[in-house]
Formats: sequence, structure tokens, C-alpha cells
Amino acid sequence: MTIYAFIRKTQRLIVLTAAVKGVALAASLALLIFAVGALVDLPSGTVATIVVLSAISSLGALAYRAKMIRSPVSVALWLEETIPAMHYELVTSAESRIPLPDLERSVHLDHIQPFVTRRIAKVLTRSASMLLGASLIYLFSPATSFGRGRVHSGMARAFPRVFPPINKLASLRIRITPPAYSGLRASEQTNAASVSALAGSRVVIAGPGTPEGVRATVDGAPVRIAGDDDTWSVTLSAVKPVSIVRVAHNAETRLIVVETVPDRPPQVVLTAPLRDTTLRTPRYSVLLQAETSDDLGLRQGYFEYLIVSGTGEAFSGRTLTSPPAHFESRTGRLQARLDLAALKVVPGDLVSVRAVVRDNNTLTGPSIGTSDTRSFRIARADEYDSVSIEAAAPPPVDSSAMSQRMLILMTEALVRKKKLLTKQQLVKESDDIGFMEDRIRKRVYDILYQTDSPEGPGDTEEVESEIQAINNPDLKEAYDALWDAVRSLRIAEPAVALPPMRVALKALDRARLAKRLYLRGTAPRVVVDISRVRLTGKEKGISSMRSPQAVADSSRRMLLSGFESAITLSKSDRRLAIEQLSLLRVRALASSPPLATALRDIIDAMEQNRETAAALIRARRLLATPSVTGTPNGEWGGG
Amino acid sequence: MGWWLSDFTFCTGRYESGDWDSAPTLPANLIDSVARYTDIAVAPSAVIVPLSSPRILGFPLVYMTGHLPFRFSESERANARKLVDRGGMIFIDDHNHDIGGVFHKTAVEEITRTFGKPAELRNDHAIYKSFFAFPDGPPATSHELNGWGDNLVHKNLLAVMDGPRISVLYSNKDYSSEWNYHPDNKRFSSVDNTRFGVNIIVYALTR
Repeated sequence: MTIYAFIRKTQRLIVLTAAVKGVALAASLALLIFAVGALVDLPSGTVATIVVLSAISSLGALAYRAKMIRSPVSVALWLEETIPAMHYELVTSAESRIPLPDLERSVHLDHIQPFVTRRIAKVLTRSASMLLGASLIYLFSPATSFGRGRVHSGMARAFPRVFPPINKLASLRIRITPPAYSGLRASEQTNAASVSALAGSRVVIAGPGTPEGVRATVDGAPVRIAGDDDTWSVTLSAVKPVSIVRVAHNAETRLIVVETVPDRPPQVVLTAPLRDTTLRTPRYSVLLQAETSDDLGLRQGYFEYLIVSGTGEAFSGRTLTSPPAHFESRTGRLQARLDLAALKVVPGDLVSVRAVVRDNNTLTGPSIGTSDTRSFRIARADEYDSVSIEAAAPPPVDSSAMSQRMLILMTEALVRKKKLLTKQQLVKESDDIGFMEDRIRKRVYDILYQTDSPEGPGDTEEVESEIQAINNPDLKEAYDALWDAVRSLRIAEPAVALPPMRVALKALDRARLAKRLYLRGTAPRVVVDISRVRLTGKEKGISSMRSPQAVADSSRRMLLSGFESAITLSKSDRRLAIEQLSLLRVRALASSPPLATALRDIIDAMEQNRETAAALIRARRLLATPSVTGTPNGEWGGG
Repeated sequence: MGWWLSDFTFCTGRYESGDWDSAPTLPANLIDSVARYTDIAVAPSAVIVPLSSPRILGFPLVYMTGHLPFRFSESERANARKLVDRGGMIFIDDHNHDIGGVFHKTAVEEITRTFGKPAELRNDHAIYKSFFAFPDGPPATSHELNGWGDNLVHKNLLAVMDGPRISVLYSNKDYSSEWNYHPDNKRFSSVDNTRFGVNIIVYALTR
């Protein structure tokens, strides 16, 4: 190789080295800027601008520094500057470009080559170190660094971690975080087959190992498995009454029943007043008191007043409330004073009072609890102490009263036309009215003395029991007045008969109202003559054959057969038996809560390898009890 | 003799609030109609049973009505739930025939609290063809047609369903006024207006 050829070769090497150094410098700067930008949380646009400017600056600086390699002479001078033993032989050869024999003999290129190699290697080593340092800083920079995620995932693909095989279902941790409003702490259970969670809780089921290969379903629907290198997890919310979570890894499966416990509505008991009241006047002031409690926490309570006005079938209502009381605990007491005068009620009105309480449930509520109702009725003047609004169906006395009114009208007419009649006509008409009046008297007698004698009282008044009559003074007064009226009518003195007839009418009317007083619970008893009316209807129905219904208690039989099969299975596969019992428990939660509790005890005992006999006996007894849907003895089932 | 051979007994539920006894002759009228049109073994007189009594659980159909605020006590509410859970049916009729009335307001509130929110019953439901055919849904009552109450003809009844089966039937049509007369007076009617009552009873006994 000639000297000039050597210089040209060295020039190419230096150019290449400078390019490598420039790229390494630019890349290092960019990585450092990304890392620093993430550390000080610079906007991505700012970071990108700084990177571009730095790259341009560094490349510009390098280009300036590379002026010494623009020509072979410059390269020769750089070599002679750094190797003092040279005496411009290289520069002379580079300028002449042709080989000069003397110089070619005096210059030993073998001695120069190692020197060039060392310098280039030194530069390349420095560049690589710089790039490596910058890369390390970048890799340990915050995750928000530009492009870091992709770099990581790429590296993970290129260098996958090898984990030892583990049982990912061996230790399941179930963490239950109740909703914030409840104020309850989060709890954690390990390897439970069944957990209870307050409605709205967050349930996280987690196990060891990566999410790879783990499958999970909630009520049959697949759910996403989250996690990292150390833990996988499934998250669900306790919303449905019961959720069945099934997780699987390889051939192994685990079943977890998540039972949602609803936030119960608050309980409230009206402790004062203790009973309903009927008042003569709408002036009454009473202290209302109620005791209340809630499973998690109360918020507010008040008394509600429903005022109903009207008669017959036309009623109107208005609702008022007392000022609300606020609670900050699980129990509380409500108190208010009800002043009927302030409510502006009038006779005939009905005021219903109850306590209403709300709880703290801000998630699905608030739940509302109400107490029993107490009523204050203001009696009307003509119906004092009545508890019935609608008039009763006319009893026999009522029809007598109508007849009595008719007889009074007839007697008054007879009195008016008395002067126009002959004595015989007057006697006959008066006697006819007297006869009808006597029939009313006999009917009143039947009611008053509760006799079924077809002959009626006749002349047996002396043996009547006055005790019976005292029980209904209105009817007794009517009866006595009717006697007087009959006597006068029979001797053709209608004008004399009229006053006692009117007294009898008023007394009968009072008796009719009195009957209404106690109408509640004593509705007229109508006995239908079934044999007389049987299938006498002209219209025909469309009765048809119907498909047989399922047995009423089929669910219990299903529980029993499932229970027996689970117990048989427990001898060979304990885990599968526990899962089957857990599913049975889900069914029993709705139909038989005590059985669900017994099944849970069996599951717990089996999981903890405890004695199951007592719980099994309890479950068997509950399964053997008579059907809950059967018809008990009574009017329908009397047999 | 087994319980399954006993007669059907019409039961009026007595509740502590309100006027539960506002239609005293309705039960006899429906008993008469059941005997008149069907061969269902029926007791000749009705019974009144407190809703708070366990005896109420022995009846397949419990009828309730009234004009005044309708509210259950705790024991009444528990028994009513049990009755429905065990397959019984409750028929509640608003004697006010007035959707703005206090009975309607409080009864719907109480039904919602005790059994769940009632929904409009489709007019092609099985109850409208369980014995007599009512292709247009619940028959209108004279109180609806003569402009009493809210002056509306209510197109649908309300019901709380247990699957496809009615567990609580609520009427705002005032059948309690329509059917509240002595059965002997049925002979004066050209068309028996209690036929839908037969449907309710047949439905309650067969579904």
C-alpha cells in the first residue's frame, strides 16, 4: 500500500467514526432529555423541540470539528501532529498524490496503523459508553417518558421472563370494600367458597401469578382478568342478590358465591300515642314519639300527617309533615307535638299520623322506613263515635222505618180528609193503618227481643226481659210508641196516633244510626242458597281443559336431591362437593334462608376440615320439614 | 276427607286502617255468581278474616276494598306477603273509583311497599278469559260511565306478577260498588255484571 492510499483509507475510517460518534451523541442527548423531561414533567411538545434543537446543535458541532478530515492533507497533518517522529513525509506524499520512492521507503506504515486503530477504538468506546449511560438513565426514568412503554414491552418480548410453574388458584384472597357511605372497613378472606358483601361493595378476587392462563366468569359471563407479574385479580360489584364467580386455571376451577346483603330500610315504631282516637271536637294536642333504628346509619326522620276530609264517596286528602329531625347514629328518637286545631280540621275529618325515617344510603337509596299509622277522627255531630263512613245496607229496622214514614203520611192524609168521611169509612181506614202499624211493632219486637216466634209478642209483654230491652233503648222507645199508636188507630183516633208515630219514627231512625255505629265487623250475613241457584245462569263460560301445574314444592325436592348428591360426592371429591353445596345454597337463599344458613355451616366445616355432622343433621331436618307452600288448615283447607 | 275436597270460601280481608267493610253484600253476590255459572264447590256464605291473623293464609283469594287511607300494620304486611308467597292471590278494589283519591294513592303505595310496584295488566291476559271472555279487557262499571269519581274509564287493571301469574290484582274501577247488591236482585239485570268476578275467582283457583 502506498502512503497516499493509506491516508485515504485512514480518512474514510475517521469519517465513519465521526458519523458513529455523532449519532451516539445525538441519541444520548435525546434519551437524557426524555428522562429529564419526564422527571420535571415537561410537556411532550417542549421535550420534542429540545430534542430536535440538541440534535442539530450536536451534529453542527461535530461537523465543525470534522474540518480536519475534509482532505487527505488535513488527515496527513493530523497524523503528523499526533506522531512527533514524522517529518512531513505524509504531508508531502498527500500533496504529491503520486508515490515518491524515497518517502515510500523511509515511512513505515506498519508503525502508524496501530496508532490509528487505537485512536478510533477509543472514540468508539467513548461513544458507546455515553450511549449506554444515557440508555440506562432512560430505562429507569418515570413511566411517562416518551416511548418507554413500547421499549419495555419490546424488551419483554425479546427477553421473556421465565416463571416457575405455580398453582394460581391455591390461595385466593377475596377483598370486600363496602361503599363509602356505610363507614364499614374493608375486609379480606382467604379461600372462602362464599362471601357476603353489602350492596354496592367492590369485591376483588386475587390469586398468585400472572394473569396468563387464568379464566373467570361471573354468572356465566366472561370477565377481564387484571394483574401484573405477581398477582392476577377479578373485580366485580355486589349488585345482584347472588353472583356466582367461577375462576379456572388449566384444568382446575374454583367457585365463589358472592351474596349481596341489602342495606335494610330503617325500622321505626310509633310509641306514642298507642291507639287510635275519636274526638268530639277538633281541639286536641298530643305528643307524638317514635323510636327508630337502622343497620348502618340514620339520616333524617319526620312525622307525616294525612288529613282526609269528605263524606260518602267524595273524599279529598292533603299531606303535611313535621319539621325533620337529623340523626348521626344508628338509633334515634323522633318527637313532635300534633295540634289538631293548627291543622284546621273539621268534624268528619280523619287525621292519619305515621313516622317516616330515611337512612344514609346514598348509593341505592335512601331507604325509607315507616311506622304503623295512628288515626284521629273528629266525629260529626250526627254520627258521634261512628267508625263507618258509608251507610250500612238497610237492615230490617230500616225498612220498618220507611214503612213508618209511609204510615205517618197516610195518617196525616186521613186526618186532613177526616171531615169528608163517614164514621164507618174513618174506622175502616184508621183500622187498616193500625193493622200495618201493628206489623211494624211486631217486627221491632222480633229484633228487640231476638225472637223467632212466628206468633209475635201477642200479649206476652209481661214476660219480656227488660234486660234485653235496656240494651237498645231506642228500639224500646220505638216499640212503646208503636203500641200507643196502634191503640189509637184501632179506635179511629188518627190525630191522637200521630205524635207517638212520630216518636217511633225518630226512635227507629236513631236505632238505625246506632246500628251503623257498630257496623264494623258485623256486616250483614247473606247466605246464598247454592242448590237453588246452581248452574241456573243463562250465560255460559268457556271453561276448558288446563294443563297440569307443576307440583307446588318442586324446588324443595330439587334441593333435597342436590343435597344428597353433594354429600355422596364429598367422599370422592371434596372440592366439587363444596361447589355443589354452594350452588344449592344460592337456590336456598330465596326459598329457605334457614337451609341456606345450614348449608353455609356445612361448607365452612368442610373447608376447614371440621366435623360436619351437626350441620348436616340441621340441613336434613330443614329439608324434611313439610312443604311451605302447602295449604294449612283453615276455611279453605279445613277438609 | 282431604283438604282438596273442601269448598271455596270467599274471604274479605279486614285491615286495621280504613273502611274495609264498605261493600258488605259483594261477597254473597259473587258466591251466587260462582254457583250460578260454575260447578265449583263454594261455601254459601263468606267470611271476614283479619289480615293480621294466620287464618288468612288458608284462603286462596282475599278481597279487600275501602274508601279511606289503606295501610297495613307490620303483622298485616307480613301475612299478606306470606299469602302471596304461598300462592294465594289478593284482589284489592278502590271503592272510590278515583285515581286522585286517598284510597288509590295509599293503596298503590302500600302495594308497592309490600309486594313491589304494580304494573298495568295487559288486556289479553288469561284472567280475561279464565271463564267468561272479555276481549276488551276489564269490563267498565256504571260508576265509570256515569261520570262519577275521576270521570275516566280505566282501560287497564294493575297487577303485581309472580312470573306469569297474578299475585296481587288492583282495580280502580269500583267493582265494589258495581257488585255490592243482594244476589236476588240479579234477576233484574239483562246482563249479569258480576261475570268478571267469576273470572277472578276461577283464575285464583286454577292458576
